[in-house]
Amino acid sequence: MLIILLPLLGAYIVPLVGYFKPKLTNILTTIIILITTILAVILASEILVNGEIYYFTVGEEPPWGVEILADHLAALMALIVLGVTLLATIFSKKYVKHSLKPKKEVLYYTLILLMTGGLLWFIMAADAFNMFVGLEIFSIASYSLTAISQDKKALTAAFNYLLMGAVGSAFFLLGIGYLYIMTGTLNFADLAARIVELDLYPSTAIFASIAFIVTGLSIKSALFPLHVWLPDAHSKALSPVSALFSAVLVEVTAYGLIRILLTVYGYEYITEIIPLTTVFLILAGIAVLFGSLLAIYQTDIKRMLAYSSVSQMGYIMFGFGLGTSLGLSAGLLHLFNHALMKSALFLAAGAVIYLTGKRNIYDYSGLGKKMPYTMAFFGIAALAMIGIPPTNGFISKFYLAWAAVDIGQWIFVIVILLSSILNAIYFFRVLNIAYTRETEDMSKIKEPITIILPIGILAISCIIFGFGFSIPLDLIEPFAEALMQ
Amino acid sequence: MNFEFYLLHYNYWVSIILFMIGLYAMIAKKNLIKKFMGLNIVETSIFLFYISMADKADAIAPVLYNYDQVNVDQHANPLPSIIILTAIVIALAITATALALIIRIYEEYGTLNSDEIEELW
Repeated sequence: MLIILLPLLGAYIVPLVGYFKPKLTNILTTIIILITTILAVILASEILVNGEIYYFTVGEEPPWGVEILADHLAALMALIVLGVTLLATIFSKKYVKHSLKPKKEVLYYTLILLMTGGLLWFIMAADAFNMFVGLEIFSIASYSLTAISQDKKALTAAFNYLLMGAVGSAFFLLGIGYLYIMTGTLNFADLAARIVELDLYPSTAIFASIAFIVTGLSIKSALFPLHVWLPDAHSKALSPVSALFSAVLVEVTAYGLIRILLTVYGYEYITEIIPLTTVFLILAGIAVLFGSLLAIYQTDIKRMLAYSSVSQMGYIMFGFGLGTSLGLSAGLLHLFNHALMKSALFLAAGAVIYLTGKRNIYDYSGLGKKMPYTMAFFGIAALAMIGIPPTNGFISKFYLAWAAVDIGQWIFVIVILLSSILNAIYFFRVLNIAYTRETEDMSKIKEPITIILPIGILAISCIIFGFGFSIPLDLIEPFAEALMQ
Repeated sequence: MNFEFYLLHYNYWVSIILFMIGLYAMIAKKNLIKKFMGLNIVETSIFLFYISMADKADAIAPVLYNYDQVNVDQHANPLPSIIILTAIVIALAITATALALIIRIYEEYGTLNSDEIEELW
């Protein structure tokens, strides 16, 4: 409970402090998120030992009290959110001071805290309406975070994002409404029980609710045909913000989608009565290839990474679409790994923009020598993205391929291999330009520690989790096995 | 499923029609303010949907004044109304954000027509 409250309370404290001393805001934000991260680690270890933790507000049991539930997967997602946010905040210290006015800087950190609080709320809600409130809190914070950059294109990108996102939330709310009409409850566990009890599976209203909820959350998580807002919003925002968007925001909504579908409707409903998993499987297969193909055509590095996110979201939904517990754990493992890789890549791209102002990948010539640390970390994360052992990207792609073979979907193994080749094309092009081409000015640029440290931690953890992949799997597998029976 | 059934649930039809009008405005209108008004209409239609599902014939407001004589059939369901109260606040926040964004867009581009903005992109 405290985990959710702390960032939200921080969002009140930071503007107050920032009004008098704008310089303190970064440190204050970092401290607040650090404390929350420590709490989340304690929570995760407790959950590993004792199992799920419930908290009922108003002191009543559900269905009357509002329930907050922290299970294995929620703990993992909270750790991802807080870890990436912490590193992005440290990274923001120099970057934001350089690109925003002091007054806006305070606003920026307030929005970051608000977004973190909303995300944690969304993750731990065990109640459909609470989930909606969390979704809206972080969405509104994210619209403003997109617009806060001084770029005038960011404004229209933010407006388009707002329109798409608000329609997504409206659909989600309507879906909750249909569920409420039929069952008279909002709590997830209670909903699942009522649907079985009242024998609502053939009901058209439940069918409508699943359609609205899936469409709404798919817009938010940028699944393939609904991804159009993503490239603009992610590439025009400030770099730490893009890292948060790509690594955390879209993934948390995908997690919310998986959670609702599995806990409320149940495995049998989405695989047999409505073959939703098959739809996801096909769309994800297209998304994986389409995103990579479009990424090849981009010359702007951040736009390229944004399209790459579309393709990586495809992998996650692909794991879910396989409809087995192995597939689901593979998809969720990829979600965890993608958060590490993509945030490292976005932060490295941000470091290049901050220190040299270069966005076009054909201007990257000689950067390998000019900015040795940044480009080395970028290289590690890029290799992880392609899926070269021993990085974490290899492990999760291998898992996905294994899960696909397990149920005899050979065609999708080919899709994974093909997309890895496409990934290799656009990442090796960047690395090739950065390391082999020469420029006249070869003087080294000093890379500040607050910029190197977050990228370094993320890139090195890509390798660490290539060996220690059992740590996230320990948190994922109980969830996947419990729900995929 | 006869004609009377559909007629008696006219409030749901109104909500659906409003939803469609809102979506149409968001897609077809060029002016950013109008696009965004379409969004507000969509949201209002959902509010109407929730309120109409809470209501009963001849129901009174769910205020407990006498604990001995509580008859559930007489009261409207309070939960959807409370949910919508929260949703209205959220819609207000989106409205404020969107209007602020539109002002900034107008300052930067000097127009609110989405086609002209795309040309200036």
